[in-house]
Amino acid sequence: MNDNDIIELFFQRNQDGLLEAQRKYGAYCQSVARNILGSEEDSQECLNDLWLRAWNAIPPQRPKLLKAWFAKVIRNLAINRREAAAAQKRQADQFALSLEELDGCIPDPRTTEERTYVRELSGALNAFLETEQPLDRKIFVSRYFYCESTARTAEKLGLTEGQVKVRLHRCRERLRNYLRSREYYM
Amino acid sequence: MDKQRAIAKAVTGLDSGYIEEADQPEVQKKKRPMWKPVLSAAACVLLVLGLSLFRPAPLKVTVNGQNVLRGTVSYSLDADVQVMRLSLETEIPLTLDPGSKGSLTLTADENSTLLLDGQETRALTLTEKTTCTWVLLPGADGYFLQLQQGKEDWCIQAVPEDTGIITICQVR
Repeated sequence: MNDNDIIELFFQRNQDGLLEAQRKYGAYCQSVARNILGSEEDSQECLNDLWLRAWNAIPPQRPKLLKAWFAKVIRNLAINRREAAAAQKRQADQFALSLEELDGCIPDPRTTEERTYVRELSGALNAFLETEQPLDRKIFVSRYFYCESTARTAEKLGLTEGQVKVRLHRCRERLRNYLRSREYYM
Repeated sequence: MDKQRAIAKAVTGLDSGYIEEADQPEVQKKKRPMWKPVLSAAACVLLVLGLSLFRPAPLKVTVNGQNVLRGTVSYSLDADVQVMRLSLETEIPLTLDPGSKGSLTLTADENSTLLLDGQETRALTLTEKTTCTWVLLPGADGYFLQLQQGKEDWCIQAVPEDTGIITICQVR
């Protein structure tokens, strides 16, 4: 079943669409979460959250590239879960805990600023990747979006791990120069 | 602002096309060791020839484009790994200087060209009428080309590239 058919089933509120999405992209999405969380159990829970999120979001959303849409959503869920786990660890720290208690009732001045910053940085990354060779772009996205090890990326692309590391290093150098030239440098 | 969090969120916002593109595997894979199956096939042919004639299979070999006096190839199993040994007897001086390139051509197949690009600070010189042995050993990260001259034993790591050429990247 192709992606448009799956989306159509979602629009019809037919649960076969969900089952088909799970069958087609379940393992892929779980590997995205696993690379971020490092835990089978957490990534499975993340996957369950993904299907619920997808069911609620489609419709009205109609993803153009369903696979990438799933990857983005589960990546976000995994990052949030990671942050929640880190916050839980801080529970034992009375200083951090006292700040977090206050944090909940004081407006966050950074939220808007951060959103703008993230959006601009994202745009700059996309513009930079457009200037890169397809192979370097794949290596960059495999490492920093999918959080894959260099060994796994090398295996996937038929390169040696050394070649991947060298290309990544040069790519980061080019990115640094690119961002610096556009005053995005952090 | 939490910098790493911002980076993580920004990366999540990468173009969907790039995300799907990166998940397409093995585009480069087919280019990798083109010469490997060729060598295996050549190995079979030469092994049969060698067995049938009860002597090492004759092989025309050139080093740096020049003919060598004699070249023989043999195959054996070392710890369950098939090893190709190529013995050359040369009457021309063969020098592998740091950064220099030499080529070893097996006429059994035109694609089986090895490019030597030594990066070691020492030079290996094969002098007149010296016999040296080249051993090609498969390894986890590529191939090892072992050269023996007298008591000296050189082992060079070789990494196959897209073109079917192996480039020497380390001498030890």
